[in-house]
Amino acid sequence: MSLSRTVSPTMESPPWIPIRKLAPGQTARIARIIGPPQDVHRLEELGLRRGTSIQMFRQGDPCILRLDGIKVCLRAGKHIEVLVTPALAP
Amino acid sequence: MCNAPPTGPQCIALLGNPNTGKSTLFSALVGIHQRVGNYPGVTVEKKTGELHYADRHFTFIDLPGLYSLSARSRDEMVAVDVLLGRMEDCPPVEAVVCIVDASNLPRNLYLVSQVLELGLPTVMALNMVDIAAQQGIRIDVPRLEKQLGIPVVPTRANRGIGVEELKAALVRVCGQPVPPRGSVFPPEFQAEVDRLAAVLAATASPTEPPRGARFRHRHGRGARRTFASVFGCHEGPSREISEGLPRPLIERLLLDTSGYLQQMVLPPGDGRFQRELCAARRRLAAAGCPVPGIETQARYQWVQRVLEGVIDRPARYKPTLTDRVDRVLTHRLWGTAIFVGVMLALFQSVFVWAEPLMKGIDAAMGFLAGLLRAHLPAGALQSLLADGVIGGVGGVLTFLPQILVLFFFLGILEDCGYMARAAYLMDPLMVRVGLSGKSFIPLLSSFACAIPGIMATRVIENERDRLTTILVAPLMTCSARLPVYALLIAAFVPPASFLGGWIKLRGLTLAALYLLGIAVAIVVARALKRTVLRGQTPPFVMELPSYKWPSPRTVALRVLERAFSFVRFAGTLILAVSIIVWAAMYYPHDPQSIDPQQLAEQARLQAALATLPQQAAERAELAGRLAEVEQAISAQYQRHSYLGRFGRLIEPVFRPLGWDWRIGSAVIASFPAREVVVATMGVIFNAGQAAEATDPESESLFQARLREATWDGTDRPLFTLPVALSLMVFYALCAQCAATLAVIRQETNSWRWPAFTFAYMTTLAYLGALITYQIGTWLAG
Repeated sequence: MSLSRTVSPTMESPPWIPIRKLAPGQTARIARIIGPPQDVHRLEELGLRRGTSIQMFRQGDPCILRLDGIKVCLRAGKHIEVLVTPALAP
Repeated sequence: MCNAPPTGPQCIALLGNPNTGKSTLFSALVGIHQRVGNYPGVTVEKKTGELHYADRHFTFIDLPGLYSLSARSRDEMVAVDVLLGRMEDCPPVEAVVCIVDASNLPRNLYLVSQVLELGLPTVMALNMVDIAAQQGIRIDVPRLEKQLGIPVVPTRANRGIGVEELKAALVRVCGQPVPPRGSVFPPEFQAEVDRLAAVLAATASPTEPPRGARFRHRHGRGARRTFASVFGCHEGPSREISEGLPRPLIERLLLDTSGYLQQMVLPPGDGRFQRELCAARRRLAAAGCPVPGIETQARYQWVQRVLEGVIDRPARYKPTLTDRVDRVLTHRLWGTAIFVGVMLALFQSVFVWAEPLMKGIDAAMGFLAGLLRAHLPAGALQSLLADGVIGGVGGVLTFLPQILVLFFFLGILEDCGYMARAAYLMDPLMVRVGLSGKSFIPLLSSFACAIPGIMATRVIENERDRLTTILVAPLMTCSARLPVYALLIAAFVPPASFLGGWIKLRGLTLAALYLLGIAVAIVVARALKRTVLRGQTPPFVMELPSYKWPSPRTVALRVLERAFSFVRFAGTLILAVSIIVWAAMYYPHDPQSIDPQQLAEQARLQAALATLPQQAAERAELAGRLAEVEQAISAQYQRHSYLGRFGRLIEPVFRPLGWDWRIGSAVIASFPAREVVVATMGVIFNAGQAAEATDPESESLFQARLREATWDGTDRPLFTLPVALSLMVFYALCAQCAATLAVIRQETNSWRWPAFTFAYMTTLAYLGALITYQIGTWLAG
């Protein structure tokens, strides 16, 4: 699956994409989690926080991610958006 | 420092993330000396165990698996309450064992950082080091110990490795004073907590502590630390802790923006504190420490510092066997196909293994009842014991094989790690109903029997989801409804078929009844989630643990524990209900209400049989006629019993459904267990005992008798197709099962929900039967 990446020359880092757009096997770092504070807090407690490295195992809703060596199944719901920065290496 | 063994058992809490092998470690520590109970007012099971070691006596409490102590529901509050000594009938905790998964230290240490703030002596069990080693992860344990400041014991709980060292470490730390720790939070946060503590101390009444402070200071213990020293863990200007709430709780109040903790812990109407809280949060946000995000930030920074130089992991992640298996098992197509296969195998085994056991129990109960009837004189006592007690006990025990077999297989699936994959596969389907994938297997199990299905909802952490699942589980067509369907369909649905014999009308009717239950369950679940159980759906995050061989001991213990708790709790209720219904059907048992001709006939036949020799040919015929007469007499006794009278009294309620008082009474009498309705109808309609009999002759006799039945005093047939359908629809939707309601009471720890279930299902059943009968008659006539 191809990402629509428009890397503008003025930006210093790759743009953020929603986590569901990651291709299987692709790694990324979590950039931001947007949503109700308590729900975001819940996700952060589980290790899904800014800077954490994840790898998409299986796309979909819910998706399966590899997170710090463990696999979690995530359905963020319509109130939460997890934005990630895909790793540049293929 | 004196470390003399104290009097009385010392209470140790066992805490950790889910899937860290906590239960295995618990079993390794206490062996078989464990007990399961309930915390008051919540649905969490309370697991405790005893250990005698080195002339110490420890009581372990296995707290539920948690990722964090930030409680957002009653069940999550349990761990917090137990650790802070606020739980009724729970002794204050003297030490904590934190069990941690070596493969995933950072996230596990989040909880540890919260626990360390409680100021209790703590030991860390670093579990599953072998699995971590397989992934190439190496942990410098001495360095970790030094950075944490608490003993760290590597363990492999499933092999019992490291358990002795863990016990020794516990003996070392228990009773020792805990040096104060710096807080992980920035000074601005700590200052706000101080301010709030002062507010609370000021508003606390001098004589009566606020509702939150239910501390029990133990008396007569030598090495007891005072309350203040336990919680005086903050290096700052005010070491004095308010007599009211402990500092960790005040911190949590500041962090919990949902307001849940406040309503659990503070007396209502504390407007001043609420305003202080809001002001404190605003100040913190302005200072760059917004609540609640500051907690994860601060704690994970601490985790990073602690883990510096401790973990050595390979740069690239190495796919494990679990990952390779997951490629197939989580595949939308192949994974689902395998899942369907596994579920079919599950059901098959339940029927293959449980059926013979249930028949065996039935036979044993029948044998016992026969013995009683032979040896006790006829009368109330004989009937009470043979019909009421044995019927009730038999009714309870009949559920056991299904519970045992189902939980055995579910336990294996859960322990090996497959259940999480099943929940993942079924999640998209369940989301349409407003539930999550974890609800699927409990609901599927309810097709065999709602009782193990409802008991299986314990895996659902979301309280609202769990309650919704419990409340709709009885709508799944359970195996107890099948005898009713089988009888009525065979008697009244014509054996027509379509498509050249491929689709039979009778089969279609049965399928329609199944679908009715499912359809209504979907509607009810959606309605519940929108009204009574409305609330925000939190994000669904579920860990997929590594696959492992299921431990027979864990599975066996779990199965036995479930079975025992069912018998002990639900069993007594079911027995009580059975006896009450028996009494209503038996009394007043006045022989004067019976047609004297029939009594005379009975006496004559009995005398004739007594005088005949054993081999006489007429014996069989006489015995047959005697049985007929006795059945007629039983029917009359029933008619005049309290239940019969009540049924006749409220017959107008049943008439719109097309029922008369006999059907109505049979339905009421089936409250202990649904299948009883067949036996009761057998008595009321003189139809014999075709219920359990497998020979087609008595079956067709039963059906013939039903077809012959007419409304009292008229020639109008009672049972028409619409009547049969309305009865079946009633059974599809009704809650005529005391056992199910008893288990709902057990699992929700309140009478409200079983009452609600009974009310809504009976209403739906009545309306469904009404509509079916009225439309059916209108179409037919």
